[in-house]
Parts: sequence; structure tokens; C-alpha cells
Amino acid sequence: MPERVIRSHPARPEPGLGFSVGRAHGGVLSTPPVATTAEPLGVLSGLATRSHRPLPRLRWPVQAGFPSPAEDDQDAAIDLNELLAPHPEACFLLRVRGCSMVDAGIDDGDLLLVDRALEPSHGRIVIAVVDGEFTVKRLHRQAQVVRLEAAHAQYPAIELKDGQELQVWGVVTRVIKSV
Amino acid sequence: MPVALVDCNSFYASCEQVFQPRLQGRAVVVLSNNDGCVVARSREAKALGIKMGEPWFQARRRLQGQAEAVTALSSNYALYADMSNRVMRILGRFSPRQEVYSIDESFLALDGLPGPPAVIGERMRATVLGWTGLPVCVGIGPTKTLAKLANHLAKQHLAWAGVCDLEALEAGEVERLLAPIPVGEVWGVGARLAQRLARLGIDTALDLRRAPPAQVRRHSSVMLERTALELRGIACLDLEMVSPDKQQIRCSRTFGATVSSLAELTEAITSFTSRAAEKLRAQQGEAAAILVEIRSSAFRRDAAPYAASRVVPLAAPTADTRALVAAARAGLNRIYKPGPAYAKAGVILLDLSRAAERQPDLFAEPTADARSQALMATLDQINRRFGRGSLTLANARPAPRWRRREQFRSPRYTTRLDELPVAHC
Repeated sequence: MPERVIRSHPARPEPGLGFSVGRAHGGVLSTPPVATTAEPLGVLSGLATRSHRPLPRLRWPVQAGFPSPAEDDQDAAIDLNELLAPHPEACFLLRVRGCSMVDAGIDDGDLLLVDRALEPSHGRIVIAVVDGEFTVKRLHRQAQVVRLEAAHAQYPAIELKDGQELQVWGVVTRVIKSV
Repeated sequence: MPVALVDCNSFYASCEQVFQPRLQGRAVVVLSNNDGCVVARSREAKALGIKMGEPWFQARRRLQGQAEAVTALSSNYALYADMSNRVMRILGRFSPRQEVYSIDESFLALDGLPGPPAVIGERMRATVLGWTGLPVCVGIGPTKTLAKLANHLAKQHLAWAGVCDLEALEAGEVERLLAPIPVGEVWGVGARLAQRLARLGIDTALDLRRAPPAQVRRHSSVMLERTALELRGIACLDLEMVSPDKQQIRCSRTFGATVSSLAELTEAITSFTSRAAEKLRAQQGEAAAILVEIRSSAFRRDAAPYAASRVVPLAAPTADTRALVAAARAGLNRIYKPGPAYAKAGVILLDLSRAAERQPDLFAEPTADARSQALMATLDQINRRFGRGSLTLANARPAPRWRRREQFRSPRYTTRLDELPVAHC
């Protein structure tokens, strides 16, 4: 039987940040460079690439002899970049057009955060390339069956036929919407 | 000391293909400022015989019917710069010693890292491709010059899957690979030098590697002797991890349409000076003089060409846009001549120094400097936040006639919220 299933790569932990995934040029997943992809060396990765996040200074003067009781418990402010884009080099924003994913909470006009460092595994919402365009769908890949499922009763799933290749561009990690 | 040179394949064209998947596998060319010449070609465009630097109208005429298969795009530097930053940061995760050599090339020291260099090189390649979608080739060698050549080889030998480690090969094998490479392809040997070397019987990279270094030096220069030594595997060039401050900052443009009036030239010069001053402040520098130049179109037969330039010294070294613009305008007023159709103008900031190293001016008002710095810092911050050109001096108009043509520019997919790629669903 011809190979038509996206092969899953063994998860390769990337230092403290998530997983990396190898792709051939353009991200065709049916030719995985499995043995070759691996995590960047851990020693040197990390905070240098994050947004600048200085410790906040105390807002009140510190009197000699009477230190603030909060001084030792000061925390860094919450960094949204760190939350939303754990791999800043691999994260991209896309704009949603259409309503086939409304039951997954993705509406027309929303912003999608896409992390290309993540493995496109079964059940994840992904950006796939269909007919040369970006399409957002839920990836089904189990037991030799690969399809892209909509999250709306009126939209049928896109089934992959024998020999067809599915190009996954990235994995959607967050939806940003105005309320 | 194993060194890697990582280089993005067809960088500009590849950036476009990442965000326009329908262009994958197709001939794509990216055009220079004003959509004039071809500055990047996808592999498929190279296969059609389109040359680097070729005027696009010429290539199109030559290709005739085939030209319709080629997608020509204006340069989208906002996109390329952002993608370049991503690539460089990813590579920086692999080694603490990195020299960013150009927008799409980086040297990395691989010594002291765990794992064989070729394996690290392959991880770099796969991670950049996976995270950004951009294909890269990795060349590894004992010196920067050999790493460059290894990169060249990695691009040619498709079977190596983008990675070439010369250190893993026997000396005989390395020589066999260097033998067919013209000496002009060697890093630091240009076309003119290659001609001179040909007279000495040095035609290939291998010839230069085998030439006695002392003889090379006698016939050419110490620089070329170093190149010859580097080809033998003797490292003479270190990684430059901190890019040196620029000695001059230039901002000049060929206009989209020629201009004749002093008012329009003043707008252009104000805008170029503002941009140059921004770059100057980014390197914490100050300029002691500014050169202004204007040039009429060289392609008009009805009028004699006119070109003029003038250096205007500043009262004291400064990074203040207002002072630099005033000096540039004074210079422009001296060289402007009514009549010619001007096609190009520019400014160059000269005699640069570090602001922190300047002797304070005995006669200057002490708080003026601080006020100027605070104002300029605010200006730069606003322009960073709201986009270049959001806040300018009143003379710099936002959408003038002379602005460069970029008719076929793709959206700035990664730097503008209103130009993001669309995900259909």
C-alpha cells in the first residue's frame, strides 16, 4: 500500500521549551528527515531570545533601617510574549477568514498564533496548505487515515487520497479574539 | 577549530515562498529598488537562465513566452529582515560564537560543542527549515575560507542534503573537490584578482592552496597570502562576533520619478537624513560632517548630465536629526541648480565617533545635549512602535512622488498586523 500517512517523528524535547519537528523543504511531511533532526543544543538556548523583561523597581522609597516587607518577594511582571510565543523565532500570526472552525472557537477575523516548532500530531489544529493556500483545520492522523476536519456541521472533512501529500505549515497554539 | 558557514538558499525568493505556498516549486525573482534588476532567483528561475543583476525587462524579453511562468516581486525588506533575525537567532542557539556575516549568512564556531560538526550542521539545517520554512546549506571547515567553499560545495552536490564537512574528508578528497572550483569563487578573491592570478598560472581554488604563500604575497598582498593559508587549513581570520561600528552611514535612493524642484529635493534630502540619523543613533554615534549629493538622470539624451555634492561640517559632532537636516539643506541649497531632471539624491554621514567618547563642548549650553538626546530617543521610539516615518520633521512628506517604485511588493507578513497571512477556514 502506498505510503500516505504523515509519519510521526519521535518527540524531540527542545531545551525546556517544547518540541522541534523536522520537515523537508516546504514542510512536506511524508519525507521526514527523522534521524537527522534533533534539538538545538540545550546549553546556550533560553532567555537571550526572549523579550526584555526587567525586574520592576520598587515604587516606594526604601527607608534606611526599615526595609519594605515586600522587597524579597518581588516577582517579574507576567510576560505575554513568553506565554504566547515560547519559540519567538518559530511563531507567526495569521488572520482567520471563514467560519468552518467556529465550533473550535475560531471565528472570522480572529488572530491565530502558529508555532512551527511543534509537532503536528493527531487532534491538533493546524495550518495546512491546500491548493496553494493556508487552511486552518483539525488534523486527524490515526491508523493510516489522514484528514483535515472542520469544526462546523456543514463543512465536510478534507480526505487525503492515496499518494497525496499533506503539507502542514504549522501548529495553531492560541486564538486571539476581541470580545 | 571547526567553523560553519550557514547560508540561506535564494534567501529573498525563499522568504516569499514561505508565505505564498502557491509559489513553491515555481520560478520566482525578486527585483531591486524601483523594480529594476533581478536580485534574487528561486532555483526554478535560475534554471530558466535568469541572471543575477540582470535588468528584469531584458530577462522578460529574452524569455518571451516563458516569462509568464515567472513571478516577479518587488523587494520586501521588512519581511526579509524579520526572517533574517529569526534565522540568526536560531543559529545563535547552537553556538556561543556567531558572526552574522550578511542578511542571509552566518559563521559559527563549532569547537567545544558536543557532537560531531556534521551532526550539529545537520541539526542547524533541519531546525532553521522546520522553524522558519527557509532552506539553508551548511559548510564546515577548519577555517572561514574553507567553510565558505564547503558551503559552495554543499549547494552544488544535492546528494549531500545541504551539509558539507571538509574536515571529515581525506586531504586527497578535499583537493579533488577544490580542483574544479575557479579561484574567483574563493572568498576574498574577486573577478579582477582572479584575472591577475590567472597570469601566474593560478586558476583554481586548488592552485591557490598549493601556491607557496610567500610567492602569493610577493605578487599580490598579505590578504591573499592569508586566503592561501586559510585554504591549507591554517586559520588566519577570526570570527567577528561584534559587528564594528560603521565608519560612514549612507542613505541614497534612485527616485521612482525624476524631480526638478528644490522643494521636492529638500523633502527627499530631509527624509534620507532622518533615516541616516536614526541609524547613527542606533550605533550610539555622532557625525561631525554630512555630505549631500544630487544627480540627474544619466539616460536622457536631451540634457547634459549634472551631478554635484558638498560636504558640510557640523558645529559640533551630533546625532540630532534637526541639526543634521539643517546642515544637509544648507548643502543642498549650494549645489541645487534649476533645470535638470534629478534621478538620485543621497546623504552620507561622515567623521563618525561614539557619543560617549566625545569631549564636552566648553561653550555649549549644558542642558541642550540632554534635551536633544531625550527628543531623539522619543522620535526613534515612536517610529519603532508605529512604523518607520510615523513621526518626521515637517519637511519629510510621507508619500512623495520620488518614493521608490515597488509595484509588486508582497505583504509585510510578519511585521504588520494589517498585512498578516490569511488562514482560510
